[in-house]
Amino acid sequence: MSTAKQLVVMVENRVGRLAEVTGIIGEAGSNILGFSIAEGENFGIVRFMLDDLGSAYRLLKERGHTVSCTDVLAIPMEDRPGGLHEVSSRCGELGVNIVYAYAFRIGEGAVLVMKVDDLQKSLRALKGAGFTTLSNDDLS
Amino acid sequence: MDCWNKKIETLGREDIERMQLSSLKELVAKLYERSPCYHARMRDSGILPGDIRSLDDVRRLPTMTKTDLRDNYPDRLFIAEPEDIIRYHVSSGTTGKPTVVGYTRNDIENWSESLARSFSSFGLGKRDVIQVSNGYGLFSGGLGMHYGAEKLGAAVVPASTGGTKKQIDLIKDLSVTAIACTPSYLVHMAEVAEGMGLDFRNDTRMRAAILGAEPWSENMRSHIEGKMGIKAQNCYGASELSGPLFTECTEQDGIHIWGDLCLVEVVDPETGEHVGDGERGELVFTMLRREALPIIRYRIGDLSEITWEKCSCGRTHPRLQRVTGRVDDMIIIRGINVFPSQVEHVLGEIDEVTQQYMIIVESRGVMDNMAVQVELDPKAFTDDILALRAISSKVAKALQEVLNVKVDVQLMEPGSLPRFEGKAKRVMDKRVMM
Repeated sequence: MSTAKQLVVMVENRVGRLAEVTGIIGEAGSNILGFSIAEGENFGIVRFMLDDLGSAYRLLKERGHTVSCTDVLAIPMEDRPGGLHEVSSRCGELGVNIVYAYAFRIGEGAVLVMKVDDLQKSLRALKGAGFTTLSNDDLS
Repeated sequence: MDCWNKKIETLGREDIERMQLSSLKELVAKLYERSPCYHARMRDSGILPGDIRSLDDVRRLPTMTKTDLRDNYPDRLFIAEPEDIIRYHVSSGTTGKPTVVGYTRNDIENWSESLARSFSSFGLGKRDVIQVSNGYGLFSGGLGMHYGAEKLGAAVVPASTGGTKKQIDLIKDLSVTAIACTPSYLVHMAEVAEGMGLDFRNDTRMRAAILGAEPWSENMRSHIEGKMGIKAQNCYGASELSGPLFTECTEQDGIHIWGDLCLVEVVDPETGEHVGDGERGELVFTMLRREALPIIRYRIGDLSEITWEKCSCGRTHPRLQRVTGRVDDMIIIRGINVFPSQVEHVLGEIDEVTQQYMIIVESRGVMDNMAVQVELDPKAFTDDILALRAISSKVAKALQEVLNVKVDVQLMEPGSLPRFEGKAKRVMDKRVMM
């Protein structure tokens, strides 16, 4: 059982700014597995799940971008009707509170990335209920 | 104490004031004779050159403002013979018609002398390499610093503005020991250097910066000194007075205003009357030795205070405290006076944000709305939107406490707000005036 790290980038609310970020991630040779954008008034927060977080982090930082990493839970789901419901309903029963989540397909299945209130407690509860969580190594 | 001109710099107050009175009498007599404009003004005020008997009589003389320089564009206030003018500088005219300042050889000499004394007062000398990153050209900043540094005998690197990476390379390659520029440009330069993997402390010989041409704060000084391992000296001047003229000494406890060159008064901006000793007010300058363009009782619009208390460095001339605002920079929001310097001070005390900011004032219905956009400190960046919102609220609360005005705070991505190489324009007033 483990947690995963996602890359988080602060992006000024300006046409073309996201492309600068994604361009650098590509240049770093890192593949974007999944991402989401949260909007603010003058900036957005873009969260990326990458196959190679380290090199993207370093290159973005070097080019003056404001970056950070967050611990999240990455849970494999089945890519079929009801797949997300199975995970989310169990989370509800286990008292795992989701702050935000996004999902992406990988291979034959799907992965749900969640930021939760209390990471360690949630991790234990999910483990007890027989869930697996993926590490960055599992994803790359 | 290393002095450029020890005899003058350590004269007692009475001796300084005696010199000031004698120069003032001479200046007024010359103006009455040669300046039709000033002659008429003196007659209107009912004062003749012979009425100046003590230094206190200076307050009977009419004052000048920027408007006088503009109305007499380009050179109608000049009193030197045209063949004696050897230089012109022209102000940018961003707030109106440009103003032209002419210089005789002596004007340039006194200007350079003033700066050479100032540079020596914080330890610069002929062994130093001074990079002048103020703008060269019509703006008086670059050439003023240049002549001052040459007078001192230092080696000058006339870098002017822009080309930051090249400037950083020169600092390293030419073993530059001091730089003259605006504080915001130096902060920008430090950021660029960091991106280039250069550490000012270990990779350069830089030990001092001469900073001016825009308002800055003690917080910004600590930030610059801490980050770059240098002494950041505050510099004061204005194009009308010649250009950059005076700086702090090693004590960093006020700017030494050379009394033999310049007489400074502090007045109430509303009434024009002198304020009490050590009280804050609008600065009024008389350039005692000016030959081309006389500046007499010039109301410059800067708010500060002066003290005659002897400096710990041993120098005796009056010292100017930090300029805390400008009479015309003041923004009135819902009837309350707000100075951008207050905003900068508050931001300097909050770790999670930088001092890169913009103030935006808009009409919202009949009410004024003030917003402050401020860059987040990259170290405080988090994925947690609630935590970011808490930073905005903290800043808003601190600003409201100091300004007594409700402020909308908007966090910005680091590096996204404009950087200024000349005078910073941090206020955008979008109010519709009716």
